Amino acid sequence: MANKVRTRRSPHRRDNRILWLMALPGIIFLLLFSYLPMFGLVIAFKNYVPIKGIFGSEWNGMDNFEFFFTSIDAGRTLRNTVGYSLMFIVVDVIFGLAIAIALYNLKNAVGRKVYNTIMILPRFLSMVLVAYIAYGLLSSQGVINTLLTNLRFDKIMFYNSPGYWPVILTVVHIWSSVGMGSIMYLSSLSSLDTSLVEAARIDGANRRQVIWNVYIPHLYSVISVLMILAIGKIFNGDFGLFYQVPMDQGVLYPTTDIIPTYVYRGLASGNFGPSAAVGVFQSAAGCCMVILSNMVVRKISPENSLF
Amino acid sequence: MKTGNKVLRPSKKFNVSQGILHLIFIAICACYILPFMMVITISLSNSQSVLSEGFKIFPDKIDFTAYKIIFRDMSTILQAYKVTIAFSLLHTVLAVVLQATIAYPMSKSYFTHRKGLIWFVFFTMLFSAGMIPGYLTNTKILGLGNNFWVYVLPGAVSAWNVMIVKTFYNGLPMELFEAAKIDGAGEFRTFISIVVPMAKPCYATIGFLTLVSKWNDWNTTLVYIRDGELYSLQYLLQTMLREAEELKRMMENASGLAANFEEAISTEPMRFAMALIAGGPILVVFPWFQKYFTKGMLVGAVKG
Repeated sequence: MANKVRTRRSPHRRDNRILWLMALPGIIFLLLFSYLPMFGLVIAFKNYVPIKGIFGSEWNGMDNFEFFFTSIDAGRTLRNTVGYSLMFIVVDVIFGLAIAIALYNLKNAVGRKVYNTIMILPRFLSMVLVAYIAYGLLSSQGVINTLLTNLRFDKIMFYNSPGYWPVILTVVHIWSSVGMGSIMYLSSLSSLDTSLVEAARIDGANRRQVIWNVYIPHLYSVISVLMILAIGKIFNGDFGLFYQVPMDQGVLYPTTDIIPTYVYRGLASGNFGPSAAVGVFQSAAGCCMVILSNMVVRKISPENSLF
Repeated sequence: MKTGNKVLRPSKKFNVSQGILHLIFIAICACYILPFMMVITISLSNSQSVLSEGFKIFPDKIDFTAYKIIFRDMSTILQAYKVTIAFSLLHTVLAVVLQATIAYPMSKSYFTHRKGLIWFVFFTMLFSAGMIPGYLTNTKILGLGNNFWVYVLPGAVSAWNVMIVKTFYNGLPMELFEAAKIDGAGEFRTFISIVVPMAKPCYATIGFLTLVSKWNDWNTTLVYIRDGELYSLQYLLQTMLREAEELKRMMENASGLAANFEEAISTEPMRFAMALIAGGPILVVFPWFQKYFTKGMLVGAVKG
């Protein structure tokens, strides 16, 4: 009996060893590049001096947090980060749905493919190239100003006027992400039972009623999942968009500065303390948001929850 | 066959609402194509006309001066191309290999530490140390500051991609593994000769996702690289755009330096020509692989 157990278990143990070996390289990479930096978080509670290093620098308690949260930057970066995230969640849903439903109703398959492909193009562009395009449109001799001059209006110095940027950034965001976003809704619509639409039509539903009572309810779970995932990333902010497109102009900070751009400036200027403190806040808040949002997803549609 | 088609598509004749939909989409697509058109036009315009008339969407006179000047000395841009191609390929291969192997034990229900390993990977998705602690460990401990390998090594294991691969492995038919076991194949042998060939489309998807994002990498250079020889293509482009804008803003504030202002603007066509040379080729290549891209997105969204 004992012999039998051993012969049955030994190949398993060998399998386990090989499985461990296969996982090992990945584990090492995660340890070095994901887990090791977590110890670096302690510098948020230290007065970091490069010569003394991470562990040699002196503790200063919550000073870094106090410095950030009492500065004018705190309200501004937090408001901008959360405000833009919320704004982007709303426009993503509205524009994504509109485009997906319009594409779905397009009978011409070639047209559908072509339009879809063109709208996805920005996904392959780096933010730097997006910034070039924005610059071509918005700079003092840009296309928009050329147009304004031709119509005998005054030029607008976009890169000096923070007031325009909430609109500009939202438009750039929609432009660069709506194509990809609509694909999710479109693929969910393709599983819609078309007899539902026919039945609604026979019952006398007009186009708007079909959209509100057939399409939208069918997409409800996709909408909620995408929205909740986005809410989980509410403190992250899109560093590329906010760093590249406004080109890091100080004048524009009131409307373009978000947590990642603030943190980056701390890194670039060597003033690590307050930036690291914001970073800790961001990581912790982000973690809570993901866990919370996942709890909500699990309630609504368990099969879509992450864990 | 023909009648069947007719039943499926009752209205082959011109349909007003379909026409309106097409018009709307053509207008939307114009918003995508015209900006690219503008970049081409600026690169082909005469620096004097840019100065007097500003940027345009369609060219009225075509002038290749900007390209001629760039082609005279391509060394900077070629160097950036070399660096970018090298790290994109290395990083992508490394990422696919690491993710493919670590995901395999995670998909095996009989692996004794499966739960623990899954949490170990998954936790990095929940919580990340962020920019500054990452910078400190990479430069002070791992010695990656101003080093080519900073492009390749960090971020090679993305929890999100590992979950995609793991989900794919879980969907493979069990019978295959049983058959392999009966034939006496060990775990590693099974992986190499059965799993890898079947998972090729999945690897292609995550590989393509990784390649696109690495090709467009500018922030690694921004944070870690000081040496011009190691600039990535996108970062090179960024410095060109920034320098011009800085110069011009200074000129606008101090109007006495009008000559320099003109000089700054007159290099504008060159800058956009550079953007096209650096960003153009890949834009033509990537859309051909779009199918992998959207597939990966869908898999990732349905279940991580």
